Amino acid sequence: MTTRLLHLSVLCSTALLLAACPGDDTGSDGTESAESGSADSTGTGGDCVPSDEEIPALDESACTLAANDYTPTVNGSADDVWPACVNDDGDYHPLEAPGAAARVEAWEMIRSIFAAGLTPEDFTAAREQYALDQGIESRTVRREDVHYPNIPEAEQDPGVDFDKQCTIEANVMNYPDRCAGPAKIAPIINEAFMAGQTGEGDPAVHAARIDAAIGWFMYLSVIKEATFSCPRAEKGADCDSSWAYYNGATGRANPLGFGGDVMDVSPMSNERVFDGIAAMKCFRDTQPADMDSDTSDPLYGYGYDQLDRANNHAAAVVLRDRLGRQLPLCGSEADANWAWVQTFGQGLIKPAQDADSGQAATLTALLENDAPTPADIQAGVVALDALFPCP
Amino acid sequence: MPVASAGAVALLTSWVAWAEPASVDVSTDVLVAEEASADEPAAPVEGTPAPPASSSYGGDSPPGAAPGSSEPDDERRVVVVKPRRPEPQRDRAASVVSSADLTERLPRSAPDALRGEPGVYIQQTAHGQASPYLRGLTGQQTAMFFDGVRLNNSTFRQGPNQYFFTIDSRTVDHLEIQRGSASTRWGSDAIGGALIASPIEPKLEPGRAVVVHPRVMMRTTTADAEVGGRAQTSLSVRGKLGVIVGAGYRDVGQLRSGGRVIAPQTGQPQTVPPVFGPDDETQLGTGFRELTDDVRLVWQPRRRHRFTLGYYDYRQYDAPRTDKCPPPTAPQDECLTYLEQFRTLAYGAYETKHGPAAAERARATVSYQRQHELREERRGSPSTTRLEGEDDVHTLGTSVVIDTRDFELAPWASLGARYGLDLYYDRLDSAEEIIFTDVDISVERPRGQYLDGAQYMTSGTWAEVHAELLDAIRLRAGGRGALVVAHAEGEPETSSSPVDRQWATAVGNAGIAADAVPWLTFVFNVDQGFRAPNLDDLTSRQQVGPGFQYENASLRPERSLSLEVGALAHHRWFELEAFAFRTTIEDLIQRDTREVDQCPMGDSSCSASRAIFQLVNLEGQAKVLGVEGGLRVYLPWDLGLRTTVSYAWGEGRNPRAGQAMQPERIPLSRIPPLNGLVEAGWRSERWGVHLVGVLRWARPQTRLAPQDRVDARIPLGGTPGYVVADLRAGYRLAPWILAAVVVENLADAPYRHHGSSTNGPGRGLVAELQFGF
Repeated sequence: MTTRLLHLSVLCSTALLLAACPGDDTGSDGTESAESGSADSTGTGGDCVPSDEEIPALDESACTLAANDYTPTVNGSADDVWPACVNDDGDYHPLEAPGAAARVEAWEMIRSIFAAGLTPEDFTAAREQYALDQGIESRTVRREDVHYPNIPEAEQDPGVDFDKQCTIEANVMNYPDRCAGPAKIAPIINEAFMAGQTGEGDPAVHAARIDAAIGWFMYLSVIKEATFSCPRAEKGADCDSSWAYYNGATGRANPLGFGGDVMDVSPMSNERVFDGIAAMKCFRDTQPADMDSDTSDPLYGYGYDQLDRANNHAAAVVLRDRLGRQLPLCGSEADANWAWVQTFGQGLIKPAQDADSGQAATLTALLENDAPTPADIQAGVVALDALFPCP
Repeated sequence: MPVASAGAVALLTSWVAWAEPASVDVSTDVLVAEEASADEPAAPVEGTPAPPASSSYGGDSPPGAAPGSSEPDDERRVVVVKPRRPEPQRDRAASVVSSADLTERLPRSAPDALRGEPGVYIQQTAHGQASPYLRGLTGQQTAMFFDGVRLNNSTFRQGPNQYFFTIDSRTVDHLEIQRGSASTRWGSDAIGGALIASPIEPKLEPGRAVVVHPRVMMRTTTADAEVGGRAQTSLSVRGKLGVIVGAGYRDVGQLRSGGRVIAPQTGQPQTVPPVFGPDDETQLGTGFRELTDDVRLVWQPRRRHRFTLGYYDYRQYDAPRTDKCPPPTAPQDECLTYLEQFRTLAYGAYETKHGPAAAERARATVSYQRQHELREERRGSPSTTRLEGEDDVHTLGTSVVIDTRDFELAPWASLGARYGLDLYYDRLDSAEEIIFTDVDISVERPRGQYLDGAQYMTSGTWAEVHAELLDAIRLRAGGRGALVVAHAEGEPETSSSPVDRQWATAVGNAGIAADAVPWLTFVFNVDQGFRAPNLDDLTSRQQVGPGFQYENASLRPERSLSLEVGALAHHRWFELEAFAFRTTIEDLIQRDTREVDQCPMGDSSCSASRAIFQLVNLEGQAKVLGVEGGLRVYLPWDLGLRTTVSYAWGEGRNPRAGQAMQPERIPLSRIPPLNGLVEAGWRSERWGVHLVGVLRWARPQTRLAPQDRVDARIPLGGTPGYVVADLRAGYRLAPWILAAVVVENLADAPYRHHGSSTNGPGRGLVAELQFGF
């Protein structure tokens, strides 16, 4: 409970700070914000008029469990298609405490630092947390987005582990979508830190980009660790990493990091992501630890679908919440929030395209729009709801 | 035989080890044992002229300066004139790499020179680093000395370390390996044994006013594109003052191997480390530069007194740590590089002989040593983060070694003693900073790898008594009282505990050697060893091979008991040494796995690591058992054969014993596999030619400790075995020219020494050319 309260206070503080200068459209260096928009756009600079429109409330009431979902919280999984698993009691039982939890802690620390101030020194302090040994940076620079096709085997380096192919510069150059960590996320973070440390531009925007990019990384990590790494021989602990990336290796009720963001807007989504991670762990435990898992096993497909669906929905509801927040904002506050949306939202483009290319186009157009109108945002929300209706 | 002669004969024996056993080949610069000048201090005092075997009475290597008769290695063209026989100094397991061996083997480093010696195995975490294993133990569990000055300091870490590499092999006359616990003589850390390097000496030439001997050495290799050399000059003034001045440089490129080794568990090629280049043979995280300079001044105003001043400076630059270039999980251009790995040793020694009976010979040394490391960790693209860590260890040391006269108790019994004291004090500077290169901002971290300002002292007094009965039975016994003190201030931000510890301990040894026949000796030795926890154990936090390791300020000293039984044969047609040993270690300090929630508060580097370790004292007894030996066969026409073999088996209590699926005992980490070598060659002193074929081999090592299984340096399932063939050839036209080559790895086989990050060199040429007079 204490952790949860801390998380909420940090989140609220961050939000307050990001909203510290309503109506102020100048950056810290006194120059006009780059993201000036038209008068009828939402408040991304310019002559902002806060919109009194709202997005519809999130409605998940029609959502039901899929037939093949793992449901440890429903009669201890006795009624689902899954075999008995270590997580049938509803908790998550890792092989060992995952180091990924420390990355979530570092992210929370970064949020705390930004909540307390956005001076160049604060950015340096936050960057220290980002750059800790074996910290967020160390994984961002190799993170793969498994929604995109894997790098062709012929172009993989046989001397490098299968899940480290994005540590090879040529692969990053040739497959930037798959190698989203080094090709997209890390550069955003580095540029934002650099700008923040040197006092250039609007620090609230930089902080928002950093936060969103780390959130993007966490979201990708959940699915990557559970479905791509964990099934391989001797990699069973990566399912635990998925759990840790999601909520800092905590219980269902008190998630940190990405899980905390999800919990704030959709407790149901939080539950379903948790179950999806537990499902992949359950599948892995049915396979020999020292051998590659049989991914043609139906359980793998069930778990993959369950987790991917829940994780995408979770990211979508977090993004949706940010879209809703955008409408009444102006100035730096709005710039920061929109920067967050534009950064984090990139992670959902491929799942959206896979779900519905038409709705995905709406979402993509919104994310590329530097000065969205309330109507644009509302259309985006509609698209999101259509693309990712249920966890 | 006079003791002096024994040492000299030993030298000669080593020099022409494969020459026809009883030949009398009078070439220039012959040094005949029985003609050793009275000016030369009599062995076994620590100061014997470069004996190939340990000096007598406990097997000390003579760390003292060689006497005037000692010559630069290029001029030692000597021949055995005495039949071989067991020498007193061979009464324990020991071997020597002589200057002749160095000339023939053309090692890449001082540790490399030890390859193939019985009981020795060389591990390499990087191309610019190497760590000798003695009877299955390495790093802080072996004691290293240079000319009697202790090299071990309080930052020697658990597992392999690179510090013996910082001895420039071109300044070494010979290297002695004493196997088995030897703390009575060598103090803390001598659990697996001791490595003793003795430097080349200026030649004192009585009767001549001023004599100068310049020498230039040039060297190149093909497997790692090494280009380098050394220039040195030896000066003698009226036979009383000798100076040898030298400087060397080499630029070593990336090491090309025979390819990837096959992981036993998967049957597939091993992935990183190392990272290979496009040719799949060149290892990218290798290569370095090296600069050395040294001055040695010997002043011998009278034959009883000798003063030595030595200055040895080793500077290695830009040496990547191969297993961290990159770490298995990092971008391919991430790298931990030792930008600077320096060791500077300055010391003065005074020796005297022909003193009173209680101190017939003595040597006192005062030394200062600075070990400097500057590490840089580049995170690799697209990161713009760099970490720099800098550690300096300043060590002040002193030692005194005294030999009594040999007292004749009866016509059939004599008794003598050697005793001394030593004290080494370390002060440590340690810092680390993180640098964001895109904004050129650096931030100092709360602590470095060690706690800044930490201090450490290791000291002791010791004595060894030796007796000889009936000219056939030799007894020895000794003891040491030791005191070790460690002190460090805590660092609250990272929850680093303060250290204020001291340990007083006593160890002893005893041994007997009996000559069954003049050429065959049986020995039995009991030696105790100890190792007090050092500042690395007590204060360091670092990424080590298997994962993140954090300190334990509550460790207790390790204590060992080494039992060995062996046979030594020195026949005119062969030499044999064969030993079986059993080393037991109480309170062995090993890594134990830890969970994230056990990490020190505030240390995210720990909690973010996949594998976390803390050093602990293992309950119960750890043990290393093994056999080792060597055989030289002398054949007619200057032909010879040599073979060595080493085997060790170690296990300790499982710190996780009692938990589910956990065995009671587990293998000790990185115990070398069964290994050895076979040599066959022709060495003609008459023609100045040698031609030797060598087969180096090792069995697979699949018996792994838990930490070995997560150590990226060890392929999945263990390290595969290998057989590697070399060819050595050389020609000497003394004293003007020496040309030597080694064609290494003739079959271009991919191979790896167990626990190493790098694979061994692929097929290539090592060539050295020396000019001088």
